[in-house]
Amino acid sequence: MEVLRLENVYKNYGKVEAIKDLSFSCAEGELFVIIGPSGAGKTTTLKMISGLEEVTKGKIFIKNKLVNNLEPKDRKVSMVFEDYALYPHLSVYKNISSPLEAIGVSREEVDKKVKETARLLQIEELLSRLPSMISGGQKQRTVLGRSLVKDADEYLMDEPIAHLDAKLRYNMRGEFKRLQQLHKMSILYVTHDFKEAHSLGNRILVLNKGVTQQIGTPQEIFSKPANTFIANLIGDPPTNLIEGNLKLKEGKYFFQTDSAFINLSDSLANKLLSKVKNGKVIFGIRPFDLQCILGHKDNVKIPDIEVYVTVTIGKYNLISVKLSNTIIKIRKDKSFKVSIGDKMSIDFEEEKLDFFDAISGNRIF
Amino acid sequence: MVQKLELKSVYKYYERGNVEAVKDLNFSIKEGELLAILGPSGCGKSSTLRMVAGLEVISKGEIYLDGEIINWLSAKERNIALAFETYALYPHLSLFENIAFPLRIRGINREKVAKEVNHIADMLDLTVALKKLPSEVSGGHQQRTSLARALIRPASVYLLDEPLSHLDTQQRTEFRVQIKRIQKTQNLSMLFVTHDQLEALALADKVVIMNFGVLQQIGTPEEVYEFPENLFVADFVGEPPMNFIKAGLFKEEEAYFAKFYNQKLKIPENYKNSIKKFYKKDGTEITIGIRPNYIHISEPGENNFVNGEVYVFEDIGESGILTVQVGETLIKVELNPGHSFQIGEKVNISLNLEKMLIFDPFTEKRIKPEVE
Repeated sequence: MEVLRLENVYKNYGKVEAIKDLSFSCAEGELFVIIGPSGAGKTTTLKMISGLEEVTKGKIFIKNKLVNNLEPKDRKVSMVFEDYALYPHLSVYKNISSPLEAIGVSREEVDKKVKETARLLQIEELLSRLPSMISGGQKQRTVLGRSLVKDADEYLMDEPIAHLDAKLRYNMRGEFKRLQQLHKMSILYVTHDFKEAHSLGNRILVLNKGVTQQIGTPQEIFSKPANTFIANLIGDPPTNLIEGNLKLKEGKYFFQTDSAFINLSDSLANKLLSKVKNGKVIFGIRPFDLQCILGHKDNVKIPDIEVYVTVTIGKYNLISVKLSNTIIKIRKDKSFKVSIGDKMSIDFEEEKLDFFDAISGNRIF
Repeated sequence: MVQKLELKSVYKYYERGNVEAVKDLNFSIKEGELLAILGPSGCGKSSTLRMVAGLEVISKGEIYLDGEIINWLSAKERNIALAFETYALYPHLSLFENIAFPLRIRGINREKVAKEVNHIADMLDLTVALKKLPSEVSGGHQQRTSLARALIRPASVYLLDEPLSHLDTQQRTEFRVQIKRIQKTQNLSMLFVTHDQLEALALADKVVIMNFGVLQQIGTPEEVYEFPENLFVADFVGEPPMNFIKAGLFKEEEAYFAKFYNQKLKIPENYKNSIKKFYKKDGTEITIGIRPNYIHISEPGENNFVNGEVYVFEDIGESGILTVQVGETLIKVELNPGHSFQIGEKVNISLNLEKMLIFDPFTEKRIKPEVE
């Protein structure tokens, strides 16, 4: 069942269009993620849904009821902000109960709800403590508790774990996912981190400058990014994007980028030419889909290229090569060791490539 | 060979509050070497950098630059180039002039200045912004300008304090590559301070890990990742973080086993003597450390597995992170893409015993095997 629906929503601040024609819907029990860089309009969207910002144009429905003109308190949503603050002089219990007390829920009902929520978040034994006496992760759960204690049709979460240190964020991400899978809350979750979005989301909406770029499952977005903006957002390191022209020389097709060449098969070249008349395209290839061969090898996509530099990222080596003016990154196992200036050849399977229009940046296939 | 930079028993006290910020620190940097000081905030890494730069008085000990003691030299008199986290650019000068400044005051001719500035600006992706003032560009641009200004002039040692902290994740990946390239191709001697373990391990030839002013370990990125000296280093380095499992040591016939929650792992043969020394009685406590990428889903018939339940599974695109609950302990496993698990599902995991580390939970030091 659908819980939340946005229909052609716009938000203008003066002349600035913060959100343009945004439409999506979230099902009951779904965790829907909006991902985008800062300034994309993520927080603005949450604020419009919760009623903290007015909608300039368009409609927002919660459980099929138009809520554009309802006060925040009359909308059954609960919001968690990025820069959370617990009341330092109040116990964990009181921090969690405060939203209920503010709306005049009876004492027994409050007690029942707080204990239920604390059990859910595994902070039951901390209820009598002050925020200064608990760890960062426990504080974060208390903040979540304050949001989850309220009955809501949709929970709105604005980067709830973004400011935690890397290790805690790693653990909280898993905890959060488990919690949502076990209890099936309906959550609209905002983040700028693709791993977080991929891990948590049932579906993801990619937003840039107020405009929807793609909506899909994490797997769809990861395997078939709709444009170069998304390709640049996903992966660690992100997809290599190489701009150039398809050329035919002595009966063989190749891809030219500045003064460098990549060999291509006839079938791929013909397929590309049927879609892009002028032959101008952007190649997308994942750093882990590139194979490196030490020294020279015939019949590969990029023969004879020098290692630009290598850095070690945790368990893998990130090898860079410079193809004319473009730096290409290759992710290899740590056991593959090369140094600056070493000669290599590079190969890849053509099926692993993404192609984008050189002007619009949109996916060709 | 003379070291480019050497610290001998260096201390830093701040009299107010009787704080010892740095205690008995020793390390050295060879020519063309990049050394990173890594640690959490308050570990003493910035105090160390500031003492080397001449911005803080050295309380005790000696610092040598190119074999000469520099304790009493002012910052200006030290042949050291600096790039700070807070950029300290000249606000009235364009980015070009900011970068050119160290060359201009040395009276380098116009043509050479332009050539050098353009070269470094190209590597740090500043070319299109060179005419702008610092106030007209982003924090990331300002930080790269500060970096370019430091790298443009010859110096004995280059000090970089969190030089990429104001960049977003993608830019950081880009500029790590460029810094490393510049450092290696120009054979620069560098001291780099960061709280980001990923950055330190990516760039450094040698890593110095500090906590509360005390050196925890000094080694290559490989050494601190694979063979951490203690629990602090093991926990601080690596992402996803290392798993720690509390276990008891048991002796059966002549072999030793680690037991936890009905699980039993054989301690590898190469630990024989060190474990024999450590073992006091059945149940002697140890902490097992194992990285998530050194655990896999057991093949049928594989020995030495641990059985647990799926706590949660996260598909993050390029890999999958499986969290397995064994008793009260959660163990993270990093898998290749293409897996799927349900919460509560039974699962057997196998630890790569060659990569397993053993720690003394009381001293927090690693118990080392005879051969590593």
